[in-house]
Amino acid sequence: MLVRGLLIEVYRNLVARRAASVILAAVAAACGIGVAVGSWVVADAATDAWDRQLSRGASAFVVSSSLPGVMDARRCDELQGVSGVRAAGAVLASTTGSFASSPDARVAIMEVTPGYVRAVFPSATAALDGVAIGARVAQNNGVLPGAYLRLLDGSQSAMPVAVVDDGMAQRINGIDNAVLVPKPAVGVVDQCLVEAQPGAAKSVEELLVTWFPPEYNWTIVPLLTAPEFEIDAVRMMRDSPVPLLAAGAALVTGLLMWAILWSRRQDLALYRLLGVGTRAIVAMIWLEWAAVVLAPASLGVAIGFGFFGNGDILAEFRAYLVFPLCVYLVGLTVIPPVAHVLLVIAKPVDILKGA
Amino acid sequence: MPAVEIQEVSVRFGGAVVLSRVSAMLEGPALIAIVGPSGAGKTTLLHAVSGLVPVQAGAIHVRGSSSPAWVVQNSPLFTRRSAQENVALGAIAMGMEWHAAQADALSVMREVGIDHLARRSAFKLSGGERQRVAVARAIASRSQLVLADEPTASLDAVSREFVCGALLKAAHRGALVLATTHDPHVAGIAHRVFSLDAGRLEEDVRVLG
Repeated sequence: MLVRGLLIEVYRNLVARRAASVILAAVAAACGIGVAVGSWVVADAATDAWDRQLSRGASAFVVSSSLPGVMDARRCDELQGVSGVRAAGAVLASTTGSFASSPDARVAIMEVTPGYVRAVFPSATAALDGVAIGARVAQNNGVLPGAYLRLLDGSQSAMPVAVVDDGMAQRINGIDNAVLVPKPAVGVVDQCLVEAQPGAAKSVEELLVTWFPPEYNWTIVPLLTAPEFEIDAVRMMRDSPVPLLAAGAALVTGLLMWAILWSRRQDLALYRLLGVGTRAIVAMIWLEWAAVVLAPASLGVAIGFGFFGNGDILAEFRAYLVFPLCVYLVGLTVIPPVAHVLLVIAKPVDILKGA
Repeated sequence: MPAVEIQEVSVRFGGAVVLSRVSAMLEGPALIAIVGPSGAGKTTLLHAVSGLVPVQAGAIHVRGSSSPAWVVQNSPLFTRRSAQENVALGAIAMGMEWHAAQADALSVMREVGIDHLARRSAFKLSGGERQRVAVARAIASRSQLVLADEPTASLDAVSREFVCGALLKAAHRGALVLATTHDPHVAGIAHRVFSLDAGRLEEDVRVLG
């Protein structure tokens, strides 16, 4: 059978069963919309929880721009003047080094603005005006509080070191294996770390509106620490009924197309009887599937996100939204291969016998 | 020249021997009728010729045709298509361009005398009309081998006459038409008649005489 003939056959088959085709396409599209909206609802819930954490629970958050290295370090420091902000700071530069006593043990040496140490160790009681050393560094290298360090440039630290141990979950991974050296807030930084009273994020946000141009695309993201404030969007999506809904949608659509193909098994056998190759019949099934299932399902997903979704949320949770969509769309792709079974069931010899 | 050479063919289903060392040389173009009692293996012979059932011994050589066209009792049609589309599908399946196949189908239907059915849905055709559409489809497919299994069974006299005429037309167009039948009328118009009984196939000279 010629390709053109095959395409016309697909079209004629769809037209010949237009009611079934329309119903199947509508179901596929509706399921696509359902999966998209369901995904969005979960993502929206995660965003709400995020907002609640910022406004009520979180005491630490990160202000950053989508453009790297554009935020003024001085501005970061100045955030400490905002009502409710206890400390704010940024990392100016970082490198790795080692102590003479343990040359093989690498530690992070971070030049930070003065407020950074307080922001990253909010409950530390030690005096934090000078060089601060994480508890693990101190323990591994036998550094005692009050010692003076020789810095990379050969000079001695102006003040004795303070060994800091927050005593709670670390806000920054590996921060207890770092040496924090305060430096004046000069230059640009990638992000600011802010330690504030719960609810202070709002004040910071209002200030940022006046400080930074919109093209900075700055965001305020809570620094997740305490388990009760932890928002795991992946887990939320996984635990939500959306993936199950997606699988159910694929199943419903699949069963419907199966039923339609099953009612056509004699036609499939007749094609074979007329001499149409199995490959051409399989191609017809795939093309019909693409026309009445895949295209409407994709359109439904697009409509679901386009009309009901929120661009920011979609961007934020894109990776998680992909999962239920994959469940749905991959579930749909199971239909044509399974439909091949019909070709085995529908033997030409059977319809010759009137089966 | 289409021909089917059957050499010492045996077919068994389970333990039952349906065909036992059947041999024949069937050459076209011609309408060849195969008669015999029910259960003699007529249909099995056609299925074996088309390759739809395997043979346990012997060989069947088909010359001049890659894929046979079928006409059977209550021939299956695409019921949601028009009669013309059904006829055209015979040619489309063989690789003819879709629009050319539609035009050719109409021409064949005119030749067979069913052009007035062209636009009618296959679902609404009577048994006799379905059979004539099936024969037209076989002719339109340009297949050199037409296998007709009881093509006139359960048809009224007028329809039977039309179907027989259409089968003859297929033969006149150069096809080898093998028709199994209980119908003396089909046997009467056939160019050759073979009798299949107890698994043996023999040319029946009585009918010809």
